[in-house]
Amino acid sequence: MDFTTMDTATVTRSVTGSGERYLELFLREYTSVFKEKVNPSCPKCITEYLNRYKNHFKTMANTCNYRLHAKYENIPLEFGSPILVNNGNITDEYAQKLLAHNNGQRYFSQIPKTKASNNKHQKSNLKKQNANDISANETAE
Amino acid sequence: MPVDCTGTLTADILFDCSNAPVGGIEQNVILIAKDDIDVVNTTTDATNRVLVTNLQLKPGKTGHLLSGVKQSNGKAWELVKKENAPDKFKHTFSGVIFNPSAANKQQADALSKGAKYVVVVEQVWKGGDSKDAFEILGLTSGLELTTMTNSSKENDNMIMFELASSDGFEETTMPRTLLDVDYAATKTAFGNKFMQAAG
Repeated sequence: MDFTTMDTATVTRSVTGSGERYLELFLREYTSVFKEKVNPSCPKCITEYLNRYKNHFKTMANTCNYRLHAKYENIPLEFGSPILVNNGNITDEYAQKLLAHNNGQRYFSQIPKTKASNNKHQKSNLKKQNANDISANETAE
Repeated sequence: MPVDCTGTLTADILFDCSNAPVGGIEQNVILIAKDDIDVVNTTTDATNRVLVTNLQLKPGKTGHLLSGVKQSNGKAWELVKKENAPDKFKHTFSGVIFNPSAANKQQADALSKGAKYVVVVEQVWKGGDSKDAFEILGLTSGLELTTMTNSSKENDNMIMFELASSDGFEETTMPRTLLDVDYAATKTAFGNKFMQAAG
């Protein structure tokens, strides 16, 4: 049974052919994945559990090498943007935009090494170039 | 050279007409066990000791949401005068547990076991660019459960409680403002209960 394609109403109201409630099966599955207690009598919590469960599998399926810290999941892409970036929907393009935020690197628990080192190389090359420019100017003066 | 910690005013105290005072805090607050705070990576602004720039928890730890309604939860602080030492501040958080269910009573029971807590609240008044929205109570010394009451004849049978600085162990400053660069990032961290993934 694939709960990632179901909405809350389906999970809470449906029953299998053998009479088992989807909700019971889902909560059993949820607790086996997240190892935490659940509150079956809280409708808002069920929605949260289902969203978390779906995001968990989206995150696992996402091949983007950038990863956000848990506390920055669902950060707005830009000021006022309706796009909330999390580890399920993050792409390289989104990551670049988040990195452009003030001190944006703090959002990430994982940044691909190649790009980071490329940036470092670019920065060090830029520094060298600046230094060369300055020395060239000094000699010219 | 001797260091003078006495402190003096360094700037004017002004009224920002476009951000007039507004009372209250937003409904939801985050309670964090003080032991779960990563004090090494929690940072304070270099020039303003009441401004926290990153509130970080230890790996695998998370804060806990106390959901409220309207102004059911509240915060307060007051100066504690010290005769021959720098003055201190007593922080108080008053909260309400709406449903006296077994699950909620279990958490209320946990509060009463003596651990110290830090409370993060979002004020209704948020200041310019919402930079002053969040406050942290009890960051230095922590807050303890000081009262917890329930009466079937009062307050609709809800559980009322208060966390406060314990006498003699107050905070060195008023509640600190939390600003993780901007409002959006701070609000996101607050919404995620400052959760830190397991190392």
